[in-house]
Amino acid sequence: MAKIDFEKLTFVIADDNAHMRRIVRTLLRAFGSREIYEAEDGASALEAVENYMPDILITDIKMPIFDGIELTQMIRNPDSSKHPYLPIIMLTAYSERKRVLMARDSGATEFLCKPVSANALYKRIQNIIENPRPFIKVGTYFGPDRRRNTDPNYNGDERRAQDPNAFMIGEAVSI
Amino acid sequence: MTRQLDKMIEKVHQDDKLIVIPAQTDLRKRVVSTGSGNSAFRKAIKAAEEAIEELSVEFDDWIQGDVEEIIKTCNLIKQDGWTENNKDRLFTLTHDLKGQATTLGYPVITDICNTLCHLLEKIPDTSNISPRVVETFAESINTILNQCDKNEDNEKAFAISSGLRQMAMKILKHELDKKARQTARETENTNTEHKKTSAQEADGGSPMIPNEDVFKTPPVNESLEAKQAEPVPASVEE
Repeated sequence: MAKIDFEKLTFVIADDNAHMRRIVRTLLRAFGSREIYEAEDGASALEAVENYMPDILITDIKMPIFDGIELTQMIRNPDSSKHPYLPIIMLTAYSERKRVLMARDSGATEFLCKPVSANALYKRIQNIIENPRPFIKVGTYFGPDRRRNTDPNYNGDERRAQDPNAFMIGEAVSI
Repeated sequence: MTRQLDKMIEKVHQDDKLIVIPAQTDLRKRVVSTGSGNSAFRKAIKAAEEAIEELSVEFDDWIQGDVEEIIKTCNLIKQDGWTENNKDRLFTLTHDLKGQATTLGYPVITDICNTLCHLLEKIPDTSNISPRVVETFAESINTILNQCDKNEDNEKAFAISSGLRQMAMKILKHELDKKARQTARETENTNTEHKKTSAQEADGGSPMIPNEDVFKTPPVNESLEAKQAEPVPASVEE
């Protein structure tokens, strides 16, 4: 486990509930972070992301104006977003599989169910830092690689290895 | 025409192309420092738990405030009915409280709010929930706040939560069964209409003028038979 210097990390917390924002801010401050911005709806969250260029966004799903899924989709639009690779933690009281898949398919990096604990939040942030995932652009999806694990028993097509249309863009190239 | 088609095909290929971009946001270079990560983790968690503990003096007021808002919304429902606005407001309040209560030391309140959220989400027609039911949920949360110890296994709190869950499941089962009966009746009506129209066509009658009998609601026993015949899933999620 690497030692993380939270003081160097900037966060935006987007949640329409002031109490929840306070809880998350308290946890982040206790971890050592000092630069924390808050937004109470999807629109102000997008504005905060563009203005402050945070290192990590922590967002609720259910929010006014546009929700966390829509916010993530807007941030993950490489044509219009200023910060398309921003790591996003979706923090929500919705725990159904359907919501988790919606969050994943919108481009969220991590999913965390409320009630939030210090331990769970720390581990999500640590995973973002220690295991940054490549980004995938395919069809309408643009976001972190949704395959987290390699299945040793997988015997289907290796699409990425065989598909002549699939290619890897070097670090200097952006889309 | 061919050029246009080529362009369309090219676009489809571009859309389907799989592009893998190595991680662009590598925070390791900037925020990982030397030293024991495990020790830093333990320190951070301890500090966070202490900070939450310090904050906890305000928790009861927060929850009390949320419960008052739920009661206010309940009064609005009594006054104006289940408008979209009232329904959305009640769901948001309950959903938020569900997400916070355990962190604030009241896991049973999270359970209670989860039950109410589930009822609001799964019931076919929210207007069939009596505002008294919502009041019972709000009053129960108040009772737990005022009479039960925080962060402790409390028989009274669990009994309240369990009672509310059973009540919600009964309401939900009743409403889902009602919906299933209604669907079966509608299917029966459609089938009868179809049969009569086909018979009229065979007799040379006009298919455009259906017999008014087909619009009559079938007697209860007929609808029950239809319900038994129709495999309508009316399962209630726990």
